[in-house]
Amino acid sequence: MSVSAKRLGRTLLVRLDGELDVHSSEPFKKTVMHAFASDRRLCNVVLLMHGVTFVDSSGVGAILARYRDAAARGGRLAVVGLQVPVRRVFELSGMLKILPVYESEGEALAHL
Amino acid sequence: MRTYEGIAGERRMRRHEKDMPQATNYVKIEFPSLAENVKFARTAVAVFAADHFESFTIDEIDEIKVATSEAVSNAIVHGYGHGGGVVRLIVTVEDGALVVVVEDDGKGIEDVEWAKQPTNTTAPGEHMGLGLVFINEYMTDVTITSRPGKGTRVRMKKAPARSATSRRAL
Repeated sequence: MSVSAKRLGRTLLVRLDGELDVHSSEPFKKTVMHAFASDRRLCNVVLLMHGVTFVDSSGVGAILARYRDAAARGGRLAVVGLQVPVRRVFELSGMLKILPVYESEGEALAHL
Repeated sequence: MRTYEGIAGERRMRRHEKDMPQATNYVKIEFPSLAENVKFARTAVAVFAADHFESFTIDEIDEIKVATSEAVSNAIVHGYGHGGGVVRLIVTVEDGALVVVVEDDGKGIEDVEWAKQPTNTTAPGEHMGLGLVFINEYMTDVTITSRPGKGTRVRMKKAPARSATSRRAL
């Protein structure tokens, strides 16, 4: 799993690549928490997930926790680019009812 | 470079050379309770599944990966509370189905029926109690046996939905 992030105004763009599970969700969690701690204006998160090939309930839990962190700051969390196995797990866990899902980064940013 | 397919092909040839029939294949892996081993565990099971059942679809292999990931994560997070211990993973074939067993010697589950309910979890925070929901959705014949203070054993099966032809039958 690789995690990279950049700021765009009040939004944190986080790009995830690889498999998101109990182990690899830690660097993702730390990246968002550090960014939120260092910049009080940040409140939105856009997760770029085109490169994520696997997610399980630990990964879902980690994303949901970041969704709550964003909501607590008055912001939102959106996901972009779900591969089939990821979309299926999101669907079964009820995440698709909660999270806004977009096809592109631009689309997500336009809706935040 | 040797690929999984290449290795599987060699195995089939060796099996042929030695003359069938042969005993049911199985793999048993033991590893310390470390979160970094979850990926290895689900990948190993996926390779075994694809190797033994040509008719598993990509979706089914993904489901097996998720279910294995959940069972192994549960052993590490709930069974051992992220502490030390040994997780055992056994993969085998039974009646045309893949069988996956995950065992730990951790704290066990007081009430298995309670643990099966979505949103019930003994490790609050970012854990949602969804692991067993995924296991029950994606696998069949799921049995969870647990003795408090002794450990937990999850046994689950999956047969390819698309015809029963497996490589073993060829």
